[in-house]
Amino acid sequence: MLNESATDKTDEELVKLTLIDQDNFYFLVKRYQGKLLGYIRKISGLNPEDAEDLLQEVFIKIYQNLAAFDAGMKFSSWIYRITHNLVISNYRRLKTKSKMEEFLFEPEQINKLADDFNINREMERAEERAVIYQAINSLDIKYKEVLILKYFENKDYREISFILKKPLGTVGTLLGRAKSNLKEQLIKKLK
Amino acid sequence: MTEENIAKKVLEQIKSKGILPKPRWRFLLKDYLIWLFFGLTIIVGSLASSIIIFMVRSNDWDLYNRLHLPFFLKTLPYFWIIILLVFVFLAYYNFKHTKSGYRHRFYVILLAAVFLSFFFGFIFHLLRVGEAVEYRFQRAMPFYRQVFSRPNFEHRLQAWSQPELGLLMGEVISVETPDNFELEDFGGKFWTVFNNEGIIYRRPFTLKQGVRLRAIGEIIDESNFKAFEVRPDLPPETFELPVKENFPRLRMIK
Repeated sequence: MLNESATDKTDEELVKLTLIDQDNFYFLVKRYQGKLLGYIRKISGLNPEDAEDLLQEVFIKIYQNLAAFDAGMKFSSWIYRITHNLVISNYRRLKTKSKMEEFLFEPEQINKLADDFNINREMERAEERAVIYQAINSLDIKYKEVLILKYFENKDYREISFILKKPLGTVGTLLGRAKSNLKEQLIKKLK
Repeated sequence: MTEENIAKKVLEQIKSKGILPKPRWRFLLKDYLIWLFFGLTIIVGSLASSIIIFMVRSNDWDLYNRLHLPFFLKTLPYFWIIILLVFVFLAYYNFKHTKSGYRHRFYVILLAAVFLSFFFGFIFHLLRVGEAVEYRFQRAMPFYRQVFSRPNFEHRLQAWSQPELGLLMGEVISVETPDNFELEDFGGKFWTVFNNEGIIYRRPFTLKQGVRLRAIGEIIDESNFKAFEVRPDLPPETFELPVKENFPRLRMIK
């Protein structure tokens, strides 16, 4: 029987409890499945069913490596790193499956990006959000993932550096290049 | 699939397949091994750099005007330079795989590995470790000796077999005084090496029959060489001399 009071626990406490009783892993999965599913779909463009299959693999991997987590890390960054690694290692296989037919980004997230790029806020219109979505999807994976982590997963530079296993300076450079590439794509598509 | 289902399905899979978290000691062991390998690569890199320092420093740089750049390029310790580069890259690879390795840029780690290798290399050099390893390699590894040390020795032999340019190398035949002795060069020619004002001995060594040395001075005539300075050959006993009949005519270094 699962202990429902576990939902009040912190991530770190749940990790410790899971290592004692595996049933507690249920609460960690529940806590992060929505976020990670969205992240997987945004990066890979997979349909919901395939993304869920991959998400299950991710959680199994997280469970197997749970003892490697230490309190010096942020649990959410750690599981994003594992998710990122699994998506990237399966990227070629996933790419052939991806359809990119749905808008996975929330209007507020698009607006945040639009503000940063000084793009008109008319982006609230669905067609133009689709243009942004297509522009992001047309980017190289290394630019796409850094943009998604910054603007859609709300991760700061330090977290992105940890998730992608790249130095802070490289994250800044990647983000700068990603923005200018995205801007080029948007100019092309909005003409 | 609802969110509830995903969480339940994951838990069911874990239970049905008997999946367990890997024990923490495995992760700790992996971390320690990576640091251990990093340390080992730095030690090997340091040994390589101590040999490089030893070989470069003992390469008669004070005679640059007589020996010229090609000689110094030919006698660089390429084998150890390659070993150093390989181990600096291995050190980079190991460090990059430590927990915090991702935080540092490629060139920062690389420069740090080079710095550490030369820092410890210099200490090894002061302790004469590089010298000992080089001679041990020459004696114990025929491949190294034949492919790397022998050509180096022959370049040196060639450069020092130019009495016309004041460079003479050979084996002591007899000693009258430290300032007057007989020498046979590697072409089989006998020389009286002398200096009435006294010869400077660069490094302390015993002048006796059979010792190989190098003399710097000027040719007086076909069999007399006025030496200003003598220094022992390096390494003194490692290489047998070429068979005299087959000794190649030496090319002059202009």
